[in-house]
Amino acid sequence: MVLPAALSSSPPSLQELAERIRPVVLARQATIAVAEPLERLLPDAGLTRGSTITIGGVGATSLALQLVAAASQSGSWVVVVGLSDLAPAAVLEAELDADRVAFIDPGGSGRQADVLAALIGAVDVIVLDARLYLRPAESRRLASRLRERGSLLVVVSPGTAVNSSFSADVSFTVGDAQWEGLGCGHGHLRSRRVRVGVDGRGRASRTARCEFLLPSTDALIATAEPEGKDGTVVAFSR
Amino acid sequence: MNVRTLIVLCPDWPIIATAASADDAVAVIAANRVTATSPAARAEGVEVGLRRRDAQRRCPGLHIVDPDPDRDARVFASIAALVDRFTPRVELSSPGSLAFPTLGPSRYFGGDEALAKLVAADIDDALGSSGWFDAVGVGVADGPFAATRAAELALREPDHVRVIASGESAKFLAPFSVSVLGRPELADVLHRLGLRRLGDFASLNVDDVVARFGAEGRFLHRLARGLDDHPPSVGPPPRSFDVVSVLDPPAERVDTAAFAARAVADDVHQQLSAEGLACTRLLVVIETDAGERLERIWRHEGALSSTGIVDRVRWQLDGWLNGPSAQRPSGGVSRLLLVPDEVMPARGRQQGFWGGETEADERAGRALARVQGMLGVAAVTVPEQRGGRGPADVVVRAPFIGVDGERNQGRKAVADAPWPGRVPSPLPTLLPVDVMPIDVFDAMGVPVWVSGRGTLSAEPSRVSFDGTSRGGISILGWAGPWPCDERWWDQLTHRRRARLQLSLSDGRALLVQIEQGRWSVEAIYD
Repeated sequence: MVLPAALSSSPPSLQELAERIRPVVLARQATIAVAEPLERLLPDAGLTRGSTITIGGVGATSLALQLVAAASQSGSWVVVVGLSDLAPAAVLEAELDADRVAFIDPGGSGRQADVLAALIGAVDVIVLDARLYLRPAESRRLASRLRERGSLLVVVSPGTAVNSSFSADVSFTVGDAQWEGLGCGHGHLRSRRVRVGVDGRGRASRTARCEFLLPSTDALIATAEPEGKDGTVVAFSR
Repeated sequence: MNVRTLIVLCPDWPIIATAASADDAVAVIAANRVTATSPAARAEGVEVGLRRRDAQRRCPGLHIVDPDPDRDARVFASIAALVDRFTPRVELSSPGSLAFPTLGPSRYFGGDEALAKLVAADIDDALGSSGWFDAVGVGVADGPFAATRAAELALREPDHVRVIASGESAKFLAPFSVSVLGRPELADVLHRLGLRRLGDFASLNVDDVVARFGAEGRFLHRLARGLDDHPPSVGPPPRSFDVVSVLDPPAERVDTAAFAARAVADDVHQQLSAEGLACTRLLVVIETDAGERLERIWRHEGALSSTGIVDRVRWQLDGWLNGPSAQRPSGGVSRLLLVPDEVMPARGRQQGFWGGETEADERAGRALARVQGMLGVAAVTVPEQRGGRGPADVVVRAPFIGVDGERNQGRKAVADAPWPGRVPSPLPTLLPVDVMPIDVFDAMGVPVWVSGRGTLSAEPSRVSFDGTSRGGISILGWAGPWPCDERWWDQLTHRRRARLQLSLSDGRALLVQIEQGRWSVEAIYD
């Protein structure tokens, strides 16, 4: 009797078996691209799908827009929930695709959890106002739905530290803002030097710190030249 | 081929549906524009297309109603039921207007004129019982376009009827202005060409019209000549696309039945689009477990989308299940049948290869429409480039209507036009929703102001948000004042102000403005 080739050979070793059942794409490889200067702040050089990002501090709004701009340019939808004071002009200036951006203002309806549930899975990037209250149980349910469907949630707290019921996979803190270009009675705001700190869970747990020009002179983001030892760049080794 | 058509038109339907009295000044306002008015409001000068503020200025007692197509359609079902007495083939295009071919009924009722008079009298009686006299017009002509024009004129006739004799439609349409075609751009071009009447346009050679205005021009040219408004490509479907949904247990409520309709609508839509077709006329049949049956034909000028189909099924269900008790069915809805009656080649919904509309766009569009259902239409907005000087004017939030990849294409030129005195880039990221007062002081603690010639009274040195001159936050750098005197030719929208850019010692940067002697934060650079 002739055995099929696969059966006649010796039983596969555990290593081969592991190789065979390995997922085609690891969760951490399914990332959403970010602007090049931001890549080294993130453990996988991009934003992991299904994760929750929080951004707080003076300059948080600008950082949030820069963080999701690359995703928008590559065809992802970006939906902003809350942040009724966000200037649409700044959104377009950050080079988000005007045809794939929408703003949702839940107002006093108290239905932000329902809105988020409808958006998760349908759009790639959701930018959420940290000032919108969600009960801890709702946040947990939404976060697990997020992981399952692969959307990205960016919780923004303009001007202050983040106080949200979402637990962040990666959290950014913007601070030490210094504007350039404005004199006393002349010039105009051109760029801002900020320090961005990154903290997080799992692979992102190592704290990194980096100085950026946010916005840079072309209204985007650029890495700032280090100034003395304070500006040392601590980046992830990959 | 022309189909002799009777059109019933209630132009004030969105108002009548609100159960308002005919003497009240009522207006329906959608997206800040008046879309329908009551006769009393019209008498005060409120016109369709006015902005909310202008409408309220002309008529301070104006009662404003939000648009609600569901309500309009539900109430209109009772009018459609009246017409059921004359013909089984009632076509509804939008609430406030219905049509049917007169061929059979007019022979039975003794001619077009007699039939139209009966229909008009029935509907006028029904509306008159709620105080709305003279709110309906009935027109008969060769084809829906001419019949609609006739119905508009019939509103002013004593018996609300205007019948255009067979073959006379082109002559009847000739004196109308070209603007009745409903294409403002085309009307504008024709005006400049000296063609002001439909008759002038109709007398052009077809080939010339096609060469200059393309397929759409040809379609409008057919209308102007009094020919049927069906583009020649519209016809019966090549095979049956009927879809049946059996509801077990029968649905007692509208939303349960509408939910089932969603799946059926998707099915019909998918079948049609697989063959490259779109539905322009749809027959919806609803049956109950007690054996009652309601059929309606829905027409759409363009192509019915899947959500469009669901909407129409829901309107029909709503009108029947929540209608007058005499017509209400005794059982629950047990069977839904959708029959695409007329189809045409689908053109508009091509999926994108490079850019354009993709599956992700469609998914996002559906989710956003769902959120609009939860929070209201105005709660979902998209950026729209407008052009202007201030950060709030350059791009504004416009209500989300649908996914449209070309929405901002035409606006770019306006936005990129030179706007002398515009706030320089980078633009601020936050615009305070409420007015955020601020005080600006010089080194001596004296308030800073801007003179009529646009100069500062002193160098600003600190700002405070609580109105006291002590303490506050010191200013590191400032620029300005940038005077801005906009729209001085219009009293209502005229604004005269001066801006200052400030960077503060706590790292924040602000754009502040002084208007009528008061400082406020216009925008924040966050």
